[in-house]
Amino acid sequence: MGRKVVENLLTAQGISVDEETLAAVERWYQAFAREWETVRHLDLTEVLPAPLWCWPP
Amino acid sequence: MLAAVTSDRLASLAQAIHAGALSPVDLVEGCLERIRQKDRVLRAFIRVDERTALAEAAAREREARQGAVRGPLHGIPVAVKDLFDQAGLPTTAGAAIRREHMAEETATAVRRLQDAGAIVIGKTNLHEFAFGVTSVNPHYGAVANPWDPECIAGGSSGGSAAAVAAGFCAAAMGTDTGGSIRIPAALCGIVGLKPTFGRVSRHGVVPLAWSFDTIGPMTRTVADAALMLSVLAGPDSRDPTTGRYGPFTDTAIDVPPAFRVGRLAGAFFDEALDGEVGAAVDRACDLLSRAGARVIPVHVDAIDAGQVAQTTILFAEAAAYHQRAYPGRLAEYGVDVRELLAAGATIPATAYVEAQQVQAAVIGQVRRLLDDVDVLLCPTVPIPAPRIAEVDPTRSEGWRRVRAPLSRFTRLFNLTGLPAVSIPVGRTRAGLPIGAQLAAAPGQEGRLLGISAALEAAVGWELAPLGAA
Repeated sequence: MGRKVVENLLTAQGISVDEETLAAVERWYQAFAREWETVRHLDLTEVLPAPLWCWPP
Repeated sequence: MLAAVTSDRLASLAQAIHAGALSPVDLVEGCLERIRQKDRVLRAFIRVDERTALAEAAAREREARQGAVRGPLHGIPVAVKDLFDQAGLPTTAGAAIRREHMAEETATAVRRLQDAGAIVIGKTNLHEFAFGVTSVNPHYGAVANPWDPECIAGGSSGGSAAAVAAGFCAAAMGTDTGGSIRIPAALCGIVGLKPTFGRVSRHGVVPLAWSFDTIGPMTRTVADAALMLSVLAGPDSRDPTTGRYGPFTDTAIDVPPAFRVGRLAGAFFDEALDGEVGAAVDRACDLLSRAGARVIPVHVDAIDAGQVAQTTILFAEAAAYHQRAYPGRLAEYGVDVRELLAAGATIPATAYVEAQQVQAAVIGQVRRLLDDVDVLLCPTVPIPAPRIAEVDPTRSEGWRRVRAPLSRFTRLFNLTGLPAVSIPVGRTRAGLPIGAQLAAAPGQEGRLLGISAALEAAVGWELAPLGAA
């Protein structure tokens, strides 16, 4: 996700941030997307979201 | 069942007050004097209510003389993280934008402490809005570690941990969404208990992330944590997540004669682990073996995905709460919290739902592990307390580097909702405390604290007595 996409996402929600924060959020999102790969590799086909069957514990 | 040999300090204090051998006024005076002497350095408190605390202490003393003891904490001075409402007082949540906030009601947890006779002497400092693990607060000062004031106390309940470790109070209250009770407990050398999700009411507490927010005690000993939990736990109609578990009554701290410990193992738990922390937790496992445990390595296959899922749910919920509660005011937050809240607002709804699927998968894996062992064990925090100067967002970028490691081992138990406790198991060569974390099946705090008490006794960890200067 590029700077413009992050900015648009925040603006659409009425969130305005300074340039420095915007750059940091962009870096955060890129790191998050990399970590999300571990979720992509998990087979969740048969798994219901936790609040539907086992949450709260 | 064997009764563990632990120093039952809260119960002893309460007993002495009941018997007329200890004055609540003297006890509170002693705490206030230590706060006056040392809190300029530690910055553990945002607010200290000397006059109210002394008036309440005098009232508790009169009641004790008349035999009218309110409960098991009668006359005991406690501190409360400034995230809990107390009627007539501001709840700052460690934020500049809440300086003028005034609570109209008292949080259920605080009311239960007061009903049990406890005296709330003040409200403790924290990471802004509890969204961080250092308690380096840009508005109320960085909480310093009593063992080395150049180092952080950890967070977000850093003020509560520092206050207990420094003898400013007999016990304190914290909240834990990703490790905020256990991390500062480990770094400050005290006991921090995150009960099962839903065990203690959150009514009247400023939220961070509803799916994980948990209230719990921070104490000097395991027995103290059990006593505090017995006062706090139980259903509350104003928190719908409570009700699954009844009152907690296992304050006797029974250690099972034989028990099984699952040592969390694998790359996730071994990588980036400080050598001294690893050695202290190895030693803790040896001590548990000698105390009757069978220690076996166990693995959580989906641990990496679980970490991302916990981040996803926590960040998205925090962003949702703050967007509605304080719209258009992000510029008034500290640098780090501002950035994290903006980041949370970029998480897609689809990722939030997938994260809840991952949560279910991880819960399933961990429950299967707990079919074969009584508790899971790992270090609480993989590194000793970093220096404040290295992680202050106004001075360096270091906070980004320590944020993930500090909460690396604690977040699993927020994702799964299991009760988890940090207890001190040693110190580094530099003298900084090291904590071990134990977790049990949902609602099994009695078993968890019993085994923790066995480890506590074997380690022989002692904070200075509360009465010491």
